[in-house]
Amino acid sequence: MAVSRSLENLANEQADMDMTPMIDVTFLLLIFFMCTLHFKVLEGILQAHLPKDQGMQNTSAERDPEEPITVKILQSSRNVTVVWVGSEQFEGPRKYSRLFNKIRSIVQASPNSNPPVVIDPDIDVPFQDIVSTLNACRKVDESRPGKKPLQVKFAAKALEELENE
Amino acid sequence: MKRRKSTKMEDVEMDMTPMIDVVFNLIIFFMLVTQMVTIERAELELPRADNAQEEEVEDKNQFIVNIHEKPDEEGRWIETSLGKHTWAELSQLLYEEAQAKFNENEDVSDRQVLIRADIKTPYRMVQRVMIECSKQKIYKVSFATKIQSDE
Repeated sequence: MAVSRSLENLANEQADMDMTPMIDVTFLLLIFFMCTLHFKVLEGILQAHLPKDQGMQNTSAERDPEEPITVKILQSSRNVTVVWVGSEQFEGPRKYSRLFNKIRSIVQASPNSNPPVVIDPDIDVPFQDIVSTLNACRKVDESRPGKKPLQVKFAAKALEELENE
Repeated sequence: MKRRKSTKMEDVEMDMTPMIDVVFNLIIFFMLVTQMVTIERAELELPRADNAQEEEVEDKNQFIVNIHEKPDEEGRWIETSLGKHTWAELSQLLYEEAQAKFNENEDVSDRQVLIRADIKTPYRMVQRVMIECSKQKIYKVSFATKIQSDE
């Protein structure tokens, strides 16, 4: 009797598959994929414009009515980035907040308070410095809500020079 | 007597089928998602900018160009969703992109390229990408940045 019951049990067990190993494996896979998935971190974006009319800026019909603010970013021999606005030089760890103040004061002083900003970086400047400069312009926009955002452009001259290389 | 025993056994054993269905679906979902994320956006150390706009949800008008910190063994700096590219290939890609947009009768000013460059990428390379863009009459570029968070 006991034997026949155990046989019956055996028959029962074989009828439905043992799911445990499969579930173990699938869960492991699931956990693996969940861990390796780097969630899409939302990135920030900074807008900029490229010059539309290379080399013909003076003849262009839509010349900017206002004097642009030219921001030069140079790389010194010791791999230090120096930012120039006009004849003013910005250096050191807090240069971008000083640059922000400078741009803001120029913008406030200008008649329509919306001069374009032209960024003219040296070719060896690391990308972070360009982004930091763009960021300073963006900060100016944020400091004066309701106003049109500054038009940030890249210098056409620099773009052309490289093409001729 | 025997019947009662069998119902008892069924009660004890859970029905695994729905759970396995769900788990498999999840696995497939994660597999697809991991692949899609890595395709478009290369792993780069993006520059920090705390005043950057937050990115809107997937802009379809946008073409993504990744620029690495250093070229690979074959001197290629550029990576897009189609893999690594030389400068000539990038030029061709942007041309096709511009053409596609033109055929769809979309506004030219809508064309936009998202440049994702590494924190240490020299400006030279970013500039070259921008030249290629302006050659194809794409005048709007945006730069991907890392939004500084709780540091």
